[in-house]
Amino acid sequence: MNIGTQKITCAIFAGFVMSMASMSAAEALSSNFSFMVVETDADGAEKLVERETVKPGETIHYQLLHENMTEQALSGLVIAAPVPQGVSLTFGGQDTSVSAVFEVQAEMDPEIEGLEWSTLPASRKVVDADGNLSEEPLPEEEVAAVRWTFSQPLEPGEIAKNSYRVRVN
Amino acid sequence: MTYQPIFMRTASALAVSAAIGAVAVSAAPQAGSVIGNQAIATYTNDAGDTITVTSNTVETIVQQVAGVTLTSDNTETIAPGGKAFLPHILTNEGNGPDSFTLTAVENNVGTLDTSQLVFYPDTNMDGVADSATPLTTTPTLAAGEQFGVVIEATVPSNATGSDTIAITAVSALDGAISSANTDTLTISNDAIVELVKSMVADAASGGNPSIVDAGDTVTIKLTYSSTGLTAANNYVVQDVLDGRLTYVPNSATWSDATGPLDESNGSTVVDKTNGSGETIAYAYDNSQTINFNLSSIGSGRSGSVTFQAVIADTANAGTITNVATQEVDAVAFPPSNTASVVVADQYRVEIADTAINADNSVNGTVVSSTDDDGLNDDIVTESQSVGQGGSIKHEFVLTNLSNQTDSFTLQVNNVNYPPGTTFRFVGADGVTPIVGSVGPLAVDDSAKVTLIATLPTDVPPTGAADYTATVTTVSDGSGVSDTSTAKFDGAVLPSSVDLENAVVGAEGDGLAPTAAGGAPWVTYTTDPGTPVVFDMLVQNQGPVSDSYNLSLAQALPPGWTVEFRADDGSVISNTGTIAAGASRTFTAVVTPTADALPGDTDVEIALTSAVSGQGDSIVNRVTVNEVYDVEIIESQSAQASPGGIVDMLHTITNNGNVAITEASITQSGLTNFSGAVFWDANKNGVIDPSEIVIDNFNDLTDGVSAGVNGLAPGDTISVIYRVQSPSTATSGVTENGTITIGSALNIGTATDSDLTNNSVEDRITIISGDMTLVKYQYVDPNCDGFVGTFTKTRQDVEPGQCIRYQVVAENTGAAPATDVTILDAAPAYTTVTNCGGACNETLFPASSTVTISSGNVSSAHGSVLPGGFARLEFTVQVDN
Repeated sequence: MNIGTQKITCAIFAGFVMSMASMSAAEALSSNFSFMVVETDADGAEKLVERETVKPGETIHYQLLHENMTEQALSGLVIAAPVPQGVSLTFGGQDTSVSAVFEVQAEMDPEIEGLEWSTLPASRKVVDADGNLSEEPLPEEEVAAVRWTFSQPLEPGEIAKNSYRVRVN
Repeated sequence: MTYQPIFMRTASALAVSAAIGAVAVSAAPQAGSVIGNQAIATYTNDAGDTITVTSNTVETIVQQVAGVTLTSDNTETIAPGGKAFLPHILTNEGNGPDSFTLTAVENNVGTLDTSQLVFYPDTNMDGVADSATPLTTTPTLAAGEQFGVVIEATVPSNATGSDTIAITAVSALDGAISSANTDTLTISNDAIVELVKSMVADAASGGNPSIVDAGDTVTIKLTYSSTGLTAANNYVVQDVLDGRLTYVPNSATWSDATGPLDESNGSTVVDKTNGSGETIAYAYDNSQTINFNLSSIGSGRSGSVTFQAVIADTANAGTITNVATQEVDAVAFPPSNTASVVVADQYRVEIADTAINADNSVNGTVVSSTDDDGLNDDIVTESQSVGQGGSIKHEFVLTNLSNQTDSFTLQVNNVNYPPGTTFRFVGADGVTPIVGSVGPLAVDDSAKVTLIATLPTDVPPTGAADYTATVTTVSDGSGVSDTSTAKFDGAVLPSSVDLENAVVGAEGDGLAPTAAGGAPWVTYTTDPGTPVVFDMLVQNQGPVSDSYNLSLAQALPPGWTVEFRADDGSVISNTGTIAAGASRTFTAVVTPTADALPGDTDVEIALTSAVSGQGDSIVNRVTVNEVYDVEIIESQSAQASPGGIVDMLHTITNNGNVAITEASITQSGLTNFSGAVFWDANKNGVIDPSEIVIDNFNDLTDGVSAGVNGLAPGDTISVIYRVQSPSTATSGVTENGTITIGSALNIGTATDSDLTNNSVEDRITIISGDMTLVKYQYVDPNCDGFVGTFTKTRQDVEPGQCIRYQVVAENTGAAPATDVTILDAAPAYTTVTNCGGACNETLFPASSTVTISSGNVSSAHGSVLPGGFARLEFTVQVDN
């Protein structure tokens, strides 16, 4: 009986290694991006509607699904998504199914080259007419991208759901 | 563009990266435009590499919405029987093309009654109708486009008082969308002066001679008409020039006099006098304000003041507007129409290894971080070496040198990067994919973009590559483009892997599958069925982490197996990811078949990179030993009557892997009895007339192969030991006969490795009753009572299967045998079973009784007459 058990164990492990072998070619982390449009009915209740088109002023709900396709936990996972042209991020519209730190990217410090990342609420330094730096809350329309830094490794087969919302300008 | 203060320059440089991911521009996206979005995820694999995964792209299409604004309310005085011209500007605030219905309706809140309200087009929005063709709707206007109209209001000569007029524009796309103005008309018997301003640019006068742009001269004409019933005295006009217009000294003239007006002598000094004695005092204050004072304008008279300005270098694309104000005797009159001059779009974009200033000089503060050629030029050169399948980054800087905000798309054209190279663009952070256009970039702003070229894994390594691709950026606004070059002149390093034996002195280092002369590196000897373990080492000598598939380059003989095992014993087919420069051990376990013939078998262990296709192999060898082992079974007891014969069946098997062509088969031990060994060639359990007596394997005709006598490896023969007792033998006499296979095999060239199974000893006892005992068997494979054919010959059985035995005791003597009892035992590794009732024991004669335990069977049959027999059948099951 011991022999039989060993064989079963080996077979399972062989399957695992096979998937590892194909990992570099196939995907270890599947990434699926989708969106819905936020509509509000006559009673003021919100619903998410699948449609291809939006009007200026409407809100798009972007959803990201990431699945660990391997047999090992994936660590150091960071998911970033841009805020496209023509839309502005809606603060507070983000959500995550796993423990993760949410940050936004924008020009928040003109003395540092490039964009900076910040958790919410975010503020930025601006140059006033006299050339002095002052601080103000970061406007939503300044956000260029968002990201989630996962606090825990993504377990094998686990699916992480992350969503954020933008308003069409 | 040196006019910008320093902090603005800094800000515009920093805006570069802001333009990449998304842009803080709140303008509604155009109808039909696509909002594209793509996410990226990064994680760290067990080799410490950062792996980037990009999602699918999602796209949302923007629908059209309508919007309109109308400006602005007018308040005009009008002489009885005269006309008033009421300018309005309509803006399409929607995000797509639309047209608008125009209406002007008197509100009838006052006594004034207009006789006619007619719209005329004013496309240049200077407050003066372009044509005498009336209209009721605008042409189709693009999103954001403006359209000017002038309402010509006519009042009868007896009109008095005032009234308001509602002006409304309604969207054709969405009738619920509209905008309105309210104009007020008042009849006046006093002085009324209409001031019309025009600005006409001479495209050929400067800058680009074919378009209106910076450097062009603009002729500005202020035309006044005294339409009231009385003269306008002490008439003052003030015109504040837009900052983008530079006044031309000594360019001012008056329609009523010749020669230039002196603008430098103050606003109170009379410069010219006309034939009616009316004077003009003209002045320019050197800070954009023109002012002139006419002493009087008679009723019905008109005239003009003309001067020139030049469009300044600071003027970006767009409309420069100006309104002049007027007053009569210190009372403000309605201002002039809005005159305008349109600075044409000028599109220009530069892509290079630095930002570019408007004067085409290099802006050294924004430079490519990947350019290795030390030159500020149009070539982004990467010289760092890269591995096969590696990625090469070229960071470019693109600069919007248009006179307006613009966005830019990027294209790459492969010149001579190796076939199979893939290209993609990412933003200034080096990671975020560029979806759609880069920008919008403000005038003179720049953005960094990176072209990532990923080489194919099978690209031939080279010490100095010379790959180029061109990158073209195209203006969304105009289609103008610029091209730069991505160049790679570094080395392409081979992805290299070395497979070695983890055996000192026989490693097979490098690409050396075999040792000198093609010999295998390591040879292990083994017996058939016994595994051989090769300890192996993989060294990833390439520049990037890699994993390798394991296999054998040549197939093993049929039935042989190979298993690759990780250090923890798990079976693997891939090494798993090995970091660059690291190594990993594993074992290859090769198992010959249990009947493997002696000899050498080469085992070429190979691995191949799943990423780069690079591989290596090592040839080792398994030598299967010669095994000599013959076996004869099984010792037994038999009974014979005096002078009778008894046949005892035995089996001889070649358990080795070499054919036995010569070895003695001797029988011994009988004194008064006589015996001989017959070859039961047809294995029917009885001696046939053609079957011969044998004393050596060389008697086994064609036993190995045609023409070669003996016994092949794994083969079995049946022999029958026939013993005859003398007629004088008395009951109870016993003799032992032994059949022995000699230990010297094949004419003494080999020795049997196991002598414990080389002989059998048969015991023959003389009995009066002449009972003979014969045992038969067949296999019941499913232990379900299957009925087969009983045989004396050897049967192969598997664990879990059953064997049905039949034991027959026959009275071959002359007198009845009494109290006949058959005793039998289950063989080793078997247990007596009744198959759950399907294979119960059977007895003959029917009066017999039986006692059964798991290991023994005992049956009592009473008396058996001469020539009669007793029989016992039972089943055993082989242990699992």
